[in-house]
Amino acid sequence: MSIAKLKPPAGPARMSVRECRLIIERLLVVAGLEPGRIPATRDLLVEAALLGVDVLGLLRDDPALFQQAGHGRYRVVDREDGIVELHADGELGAVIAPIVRDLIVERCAQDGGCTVHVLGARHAELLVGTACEIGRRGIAVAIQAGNATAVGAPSGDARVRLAPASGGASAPEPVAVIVAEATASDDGEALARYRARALRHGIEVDSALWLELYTRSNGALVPDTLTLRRHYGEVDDDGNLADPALDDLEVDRALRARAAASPLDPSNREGRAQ
Amino acid sequence: MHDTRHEAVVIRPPDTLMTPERLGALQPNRLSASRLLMAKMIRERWSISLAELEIDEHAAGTARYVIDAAGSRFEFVVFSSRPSLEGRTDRIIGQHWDMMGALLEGTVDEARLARTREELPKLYGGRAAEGTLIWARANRSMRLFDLAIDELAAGRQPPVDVLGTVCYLMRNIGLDGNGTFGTRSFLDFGSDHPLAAPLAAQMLASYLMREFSFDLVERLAAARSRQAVPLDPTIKRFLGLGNGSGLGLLFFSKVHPVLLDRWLTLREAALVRATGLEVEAGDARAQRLDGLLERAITHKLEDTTRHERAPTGPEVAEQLRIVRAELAAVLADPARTAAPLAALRDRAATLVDGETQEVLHALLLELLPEDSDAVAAQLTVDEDSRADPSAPVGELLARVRADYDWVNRFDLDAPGARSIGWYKSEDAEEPRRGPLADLPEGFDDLTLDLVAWIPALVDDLEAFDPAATVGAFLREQPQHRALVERIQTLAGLAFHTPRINWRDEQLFAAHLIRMANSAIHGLDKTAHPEPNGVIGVLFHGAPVRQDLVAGADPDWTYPTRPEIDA
Repeated sequence: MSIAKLKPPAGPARMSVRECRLIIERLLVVAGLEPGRIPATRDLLVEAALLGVDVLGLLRDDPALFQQAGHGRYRVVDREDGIVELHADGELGAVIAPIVRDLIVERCAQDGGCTVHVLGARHAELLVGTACEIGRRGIAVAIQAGNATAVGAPSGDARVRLAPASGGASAPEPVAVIVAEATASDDGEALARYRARALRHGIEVDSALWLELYTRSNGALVPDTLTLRRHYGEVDDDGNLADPALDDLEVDRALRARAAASPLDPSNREGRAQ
Repeated sequence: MHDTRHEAVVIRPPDTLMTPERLGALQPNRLSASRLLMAKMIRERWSISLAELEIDEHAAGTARYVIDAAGSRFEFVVFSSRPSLEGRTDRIIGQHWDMMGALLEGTVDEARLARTREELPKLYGGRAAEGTLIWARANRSMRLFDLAIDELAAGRQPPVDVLGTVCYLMRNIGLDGNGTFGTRSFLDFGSDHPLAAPLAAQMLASYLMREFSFDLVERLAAARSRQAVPLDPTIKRFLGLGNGSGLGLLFFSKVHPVLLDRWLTLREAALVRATGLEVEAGDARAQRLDGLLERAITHKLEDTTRHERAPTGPEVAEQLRIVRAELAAVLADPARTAAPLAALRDRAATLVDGETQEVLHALLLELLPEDSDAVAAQLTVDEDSRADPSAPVGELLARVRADYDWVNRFDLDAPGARSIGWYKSEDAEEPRRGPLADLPEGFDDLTLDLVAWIPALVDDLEAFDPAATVGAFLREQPQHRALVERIQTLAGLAFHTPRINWRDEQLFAAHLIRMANSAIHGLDKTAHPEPNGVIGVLFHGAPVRQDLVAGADPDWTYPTRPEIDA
């Protein structure tokens, strides 16, 4: 069925984690984000969405969200008071999320804990997706990012509270404050519970939202042409598939062999099959 | 969760196993998904009943199967159509299917049935009803299906020699689950679920499509003639479900390297255990292996599948005769020092081709005690990233040099060695590969181009402070992030990545499709009529549903043509 003819199903649509990953990945491709950055950015966006941040709504409302993303002009500054500053220079929170995660994991491995301030990031609330990944590495973390507050347990369990939006790229104060501490915890139960919840429920969205994002994400697929159809198999000049129906050929061959073996055998039924 | 990273097993090195030719030679075996499911269904005596078959003489209508899986209920609803030649193809871009089906948990009420009926035809644009595990679709093998109807309607069984050229009445066109189209996520099943093993839900849907093919052919024969007879159960067991697969299975190996490693590691470890078994001439194990070899020889002799880059069935049969003679010789050899089956395996490695060696390996696995549930439990893997940004750059560089030296063995200056791109078409997301020159600028290139990426990464790592962290490296070289995280996640695993140059126009992708089809899914008689596709048969020889409740024979592989009075 043509995508253009699709109508959203009645009621809300439930997107599985796998579908959410696929759609976000393709939207990142469509936006032109550098391929090497896409998997990590995608995964942390999905985590943020699972924690309750309206990632999908944001993607719908701002199709140009990722334009100019991934410019690479960020600086890490170690302050004398021990706080680590990440100057994002207007970068999107989702794109610097892997860097923030790395910084926290590195510093906790080195010093046992750290405080990171993120300055000048757009949509800093998207940073909360790091909470689970950081927690999964045995680190307790508290994130105040944009209008979101996240608390990640060492086991990777995480909670997020969302407040009315405030601050932004031009705010002089940090748009995100992250406090992390390495622990010796190896408790996987809470993480397992969290993951099970996410896997079972996925993300419930308005059907129209799902269909719009699905349709837009298909922009990452390569448009079909006669030449490209032939990359897989034979088609005629009108683009119709020339299917050799190999099993039919095998059956015909076997029936002919039967006929040749016993031409007078009344059970020879080649003629009927042809 | 079981982790095999540090098991002290002596298994083949990845240099030997991970070549496309050797991977393509791997055979269906006890660890294959269809075999694991069938073992469970037989052991637990699952009950499958046809609750509804409302199909007219043109094949249009519905069917419903109820599955009692040791106390858990599933239903498989089928929407059957009158066959049409228009839009018909084994490629996923086809637009007509003779049947579409959905496997759902629990009892399917009117609301879920209506939702499935409405959404299933939309496929990629559809949303599955709550509790749906799989959406499936299949086409008939046209000539053979028609022949079977003709013969049954005339009161005769269809000729087995003709059936044996194809070995199925219907052919799977697509199975979608694990979150796709709103189906339930596999990892949500939990370890107590009857379909907790990877691909088990897909295999159950396949088995039910096979059952439907029998019920449909009988229904249409009966509609044509009062003299019609049912299909002989012996023939049903001989017939499987056809399957055609394409390049998507290479993306499977790209996206699920941990799962691929687990499957191959468990198989290789089981093979080591099997070759270490004590065997004496004339004992039960020796007789069992000899009997399996005899059966496999007949099976291969009857295999008329046409191959381009693999030996034919009769050729393998000839070599299996050598293996069988070697078994007797090894058991009678007083001078041998190795365990007899290890000695047999070693001798086979010098006497017969890779395809035949892998048949022997699959047969050796049959000697191990039945522990399919335990194996299946180990197949569920944690695929989360294990990236470690705190690791030193020098450590990462050493890892890359040790694990990925193989990428330097390809001649990238050879004609066509860098000419191919992999992508998904907007037409049903069909996975394809084709000349880069044909593809639009900036297309989503899905090539796993390790032979180019790894040397570029090594160059940049060598220019970086070896004492710095990987995180610091990635802040300066973010283009390497996906590759670095993949390398760190796969550290310590042996069998995660087939050793191929994805960009090479000469790559025979069918080897790797066949690996997934045969070794992982469990297809028999796999053939590759073209470089990008593989066809084969699932559940070839497996018990039918009526056998299960009665207590089916678990020893059903390598079937030979049944003797039937026409």
